[in-house]
Amino acid sequence: MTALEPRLHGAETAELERVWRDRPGIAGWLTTVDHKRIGKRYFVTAFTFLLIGGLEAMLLRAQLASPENDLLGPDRYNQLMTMHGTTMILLFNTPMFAAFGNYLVPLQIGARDMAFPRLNALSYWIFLFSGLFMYASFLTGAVPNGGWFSYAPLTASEFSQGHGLDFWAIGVTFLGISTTVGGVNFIVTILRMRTPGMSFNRMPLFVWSILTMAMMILFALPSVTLAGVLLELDRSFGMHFFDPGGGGDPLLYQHLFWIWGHPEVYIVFIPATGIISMVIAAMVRRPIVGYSLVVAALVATGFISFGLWLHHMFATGLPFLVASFFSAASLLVAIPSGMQIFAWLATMNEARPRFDTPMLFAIGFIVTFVIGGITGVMVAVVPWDQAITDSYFVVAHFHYVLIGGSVMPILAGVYFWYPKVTGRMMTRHLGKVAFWLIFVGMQVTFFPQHILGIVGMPRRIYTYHRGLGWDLMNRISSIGAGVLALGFLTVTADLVVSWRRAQPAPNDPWGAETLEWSISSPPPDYNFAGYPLVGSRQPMWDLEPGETLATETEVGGESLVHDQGGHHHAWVTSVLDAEAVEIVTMPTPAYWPLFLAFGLLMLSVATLSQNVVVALLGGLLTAYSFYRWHGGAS
Amino acid sequence: MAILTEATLFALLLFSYFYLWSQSAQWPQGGVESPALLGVSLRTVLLLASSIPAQLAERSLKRGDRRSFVRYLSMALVMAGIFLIGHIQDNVRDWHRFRPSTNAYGSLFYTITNLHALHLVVGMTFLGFVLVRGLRGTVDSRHHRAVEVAVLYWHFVDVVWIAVFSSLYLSVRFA
Repeated sequence: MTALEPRLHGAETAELERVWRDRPGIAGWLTTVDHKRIGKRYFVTAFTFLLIGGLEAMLLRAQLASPENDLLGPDRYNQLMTMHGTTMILLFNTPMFAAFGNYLVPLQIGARDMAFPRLNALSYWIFLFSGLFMYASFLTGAVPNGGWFSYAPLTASEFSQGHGLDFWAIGVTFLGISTTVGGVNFIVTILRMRTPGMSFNRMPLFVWSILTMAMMILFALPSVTLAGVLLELDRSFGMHFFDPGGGGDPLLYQHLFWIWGHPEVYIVFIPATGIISMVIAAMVRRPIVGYSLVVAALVATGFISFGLWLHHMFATGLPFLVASFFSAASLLVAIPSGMQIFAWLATMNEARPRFDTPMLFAIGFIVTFVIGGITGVMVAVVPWDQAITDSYFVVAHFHYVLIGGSVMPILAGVYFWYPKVTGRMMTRHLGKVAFWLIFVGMQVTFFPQHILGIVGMPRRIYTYHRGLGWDLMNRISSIGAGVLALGFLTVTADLVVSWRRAQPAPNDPWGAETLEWSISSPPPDYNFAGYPLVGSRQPMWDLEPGETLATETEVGGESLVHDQGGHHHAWVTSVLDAEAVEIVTMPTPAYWPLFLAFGLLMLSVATLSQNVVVALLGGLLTAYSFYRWHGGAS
Repeated sequence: MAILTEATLFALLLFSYFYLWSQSAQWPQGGVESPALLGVSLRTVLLLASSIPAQLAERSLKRGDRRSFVRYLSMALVMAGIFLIGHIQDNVRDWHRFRPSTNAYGSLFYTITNLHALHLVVGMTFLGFVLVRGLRGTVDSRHHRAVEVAVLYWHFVDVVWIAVFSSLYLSVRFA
């Protein structure tokens, strides 16, 4: 391929800018299909839910700070505990990776947008509405209170009256649509929208991790959707899926929940490892050791994670052979995770890493996750699990895994890509302060909980008696939670302060290797003026000093820059080798995704309140938006 | 992709069915009779056969024969319609014997068969949609992506029925 267009300036790209720009003001905000705007929106929304979930956690720790405390009382405690778990897993953690994936995947594969931009907008609106829907329960006073996994029969209508659990079951089902649609979108985008030359074995590891995550979503998510729907059918329509009195079985609920629930842990872990791989490679300026093995480990983790769900149910009286099988599988999954850890350590070995904030979080992740991994191997062993199940040991374990394995990588990613997204560097020191507060706060909060679990403190109790030997550890844990909260407040302050005043960021502040760093910070609306030519896994490291990445602005004589006729044009390639470029016309901004999501929200409200009029209106709006989906910008 | 995730949904529902069956002393529970086989078997043959005209319709269109396309597609839709009417009749008749709220068997039976019926209606809507486009002439031998998707979905609805039929009707009779 010759005739390279080195760089396009001003007048050359004026038409592209005009075509890809959103409408000004509120209309543009409501109709946008730009993956970068949607990604940022996902980030802000998920981060807000993180702060809300964190506030709930603070209240819980305040309640548990001293014995026989009556700050919250049992009902409020159960509600906050349920909403804390639900918020952190479903409304913060999973959507946060949708934020990263949305923003970064098209940039890293050299595309102008996601494969289905309107579906992308739809999945954001559904996410927002389902979050608001669940939190609306606080206004009615009937807040979900059955724990984040809402086991039947505790959640059956006779034991859990009021609408609290209906908010949960309907909200989870509603949110599932968003996650599924997002998963499909990621898969098609990664398979078809890669720039020419980016064959499968040249994809950045982050893209691999999102692809694995999306595949897992497709197979795991129907299970929790089904659990939610059947629970709601039991509650609202008098069915008997989980009711032993009517021939059902509450254990069926546990199966359905964990067939999703365990892969879900990896759905929020695998993309986190993708972030870490990108951060470490950039910070030590060398490719991750064992690329193919890391990819194999990602995919293997994805597969094995579907064979683990019963280890959440060791205490339910499983046959010995079954328990042994799932115990073995639970030990097995440590192997691919270990492979990744060693690949990162080997990459850092004999190099001199720069200890900028993203790198600190990456190392904090490795340390914390290894501790969480070790206790994970412990709980995979059946007799140990029998002893500590439903104790604070389990709480400590999964907070190590989730904060260590998922939240710290997210923060590493935030500090790493912030300059790209906002066009501003972050402040020099606040990030390091935040890291140490979070790292220390996290250890102080959760390490004592291991001990509390071993000495017998059960999880999910709103208070405890004096003199059981639990007082000191609980006090330490609550103090740690305060430090942790301070850390997150520092991050929030840093995000805001840097956005307002820090210095402008260059295209590639870290000297990183992937395509997003070849364009300006923040990127133009159309991302790439032409398609970048990729000849290796590290296109940016192939360049001589001062050289810019070559892009091709024509396909078969058709320009990608001039004479666009008002259309959003993008390029597609073959699945495996990313060859045979073709120009396609992409959908433009529209109101229909918003309207469709709103119609679905009305249907959810109607199911909750059993209101036929709202159901009809919602159904009509949904059907009409669906029918007009392909139409113009309304 | 959407088909994969929906297939998983049905697989899990059937898992729930067999799981509760394995946990029950008597199946169907509570003295409910096993569903009658004759009518539903005839309907099954009809539904599975409807995949053939659907496929032929797609082939005709790709060859540029829009008349046969419309004819075959209408045929598939009529067969599907008869299946659907039969399903509604069965539901109405079964309603006198047991309901979703009778026991877990009833909950499963009605949920699974009617979820399939819902997919059937969606599939028929897809087919109807491309039929209208065929009449209007907006699909032809070069623009047939929508037809491929609709026909693929139709095959999926049929394949799911094989699983539902063998689980809910056959195995309960012959187990």
